Amino acid sequence: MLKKTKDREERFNEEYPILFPIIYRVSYRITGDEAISEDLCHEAFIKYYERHEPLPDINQAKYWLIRVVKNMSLNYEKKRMREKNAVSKLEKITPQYMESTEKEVLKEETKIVVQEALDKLPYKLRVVLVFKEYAQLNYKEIGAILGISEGNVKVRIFRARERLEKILKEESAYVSEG
Amino acid sequence: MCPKDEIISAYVDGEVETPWTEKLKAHFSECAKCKARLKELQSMSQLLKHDKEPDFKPALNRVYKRIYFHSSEKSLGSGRQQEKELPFWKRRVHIPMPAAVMLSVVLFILFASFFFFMGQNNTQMANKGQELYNTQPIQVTVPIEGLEAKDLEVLLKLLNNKDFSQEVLMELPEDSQFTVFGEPEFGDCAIDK
Ligand SMILES: [Zn+2]
Repeated sequence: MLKKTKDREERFNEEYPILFPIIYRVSYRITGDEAISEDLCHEAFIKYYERHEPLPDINQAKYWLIRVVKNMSLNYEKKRMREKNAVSKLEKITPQYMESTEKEVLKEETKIVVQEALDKLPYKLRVVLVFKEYAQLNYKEIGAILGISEGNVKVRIFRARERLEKILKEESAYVSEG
Repeated sequence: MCPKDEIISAYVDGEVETPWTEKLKAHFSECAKCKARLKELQSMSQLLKHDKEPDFKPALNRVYKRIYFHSSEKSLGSGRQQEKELPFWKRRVHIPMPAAVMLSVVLFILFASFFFFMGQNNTQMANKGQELYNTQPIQVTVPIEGLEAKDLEVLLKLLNNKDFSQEVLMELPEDSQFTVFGEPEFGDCAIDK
């Protein structure tokens, strides 16, 4: 028993520095929020740490963690959508007040244009693209994690790219106009 | 015939099967339109990949600490850590069976003397109220080792006969051990590092 826990701890200490940057990156790209990403990672790694059945290798651990983060991020996404709806309602009430200040903020934040564009992607498309570009997963692996076919992954990734192109074009036009 | 955008996107990801990869390559070399589309999708992929990101290292360290902390709070952790972090009412205390029996005896006697005390009080409160605070407490010391039900009866009788017995000391056996059960394996391993 003692040996078992020791092995597990050793393995965790080996895997953690390799897995954390990947899981954090995926969390950040899905949620667009550093603090929430940290919380998601915390939850996911605790779950991983407390798992009774060890996973066969580090790759399986990676898939498992990515799946956990993805499931948890959905709750956050729902909350975010509610808040977003509330904000847009507020904007409708006070449009003149918001406009000028918001434009100034946008001009200063051209650096984070990519993440903002990602945030605007529908969740389903965003997750697939993030898995591809930031977790370096192939279509087969993404399909396995999400429980969809490879063909479906291919379609979603393409749609995500198409949408992202559009968003980025709109955004850059908006910034250069302003 | 030009491939669909979807195929070009899959090509960017290296997800097109071998006979088709060559065909696509050949097509890109002769079709400017598709080649331009390929470049667009490739540069978008690069844009995402090389986008600046927050530094993960502080988060990595914080989360590691939180996980270690969490595990030491749980059963895996050492008793020392546990005591420090949990409020006293949440701390898990494992009391060995004989100690638990002794504890209940002590509690029983305290209750008994309390009610006895109250009973005395109620009837005599009016005239004795003042004296109550001046009365010297009677100290009863009971060695609990080998205590039997019979002895307990004697003790209670003794308490009953005295006017005020506010203090009862129970002596526990010399070898009583109030240790935490369960080996704090994991926490100790971690501390060694
Ligand atoms: Zn073509």
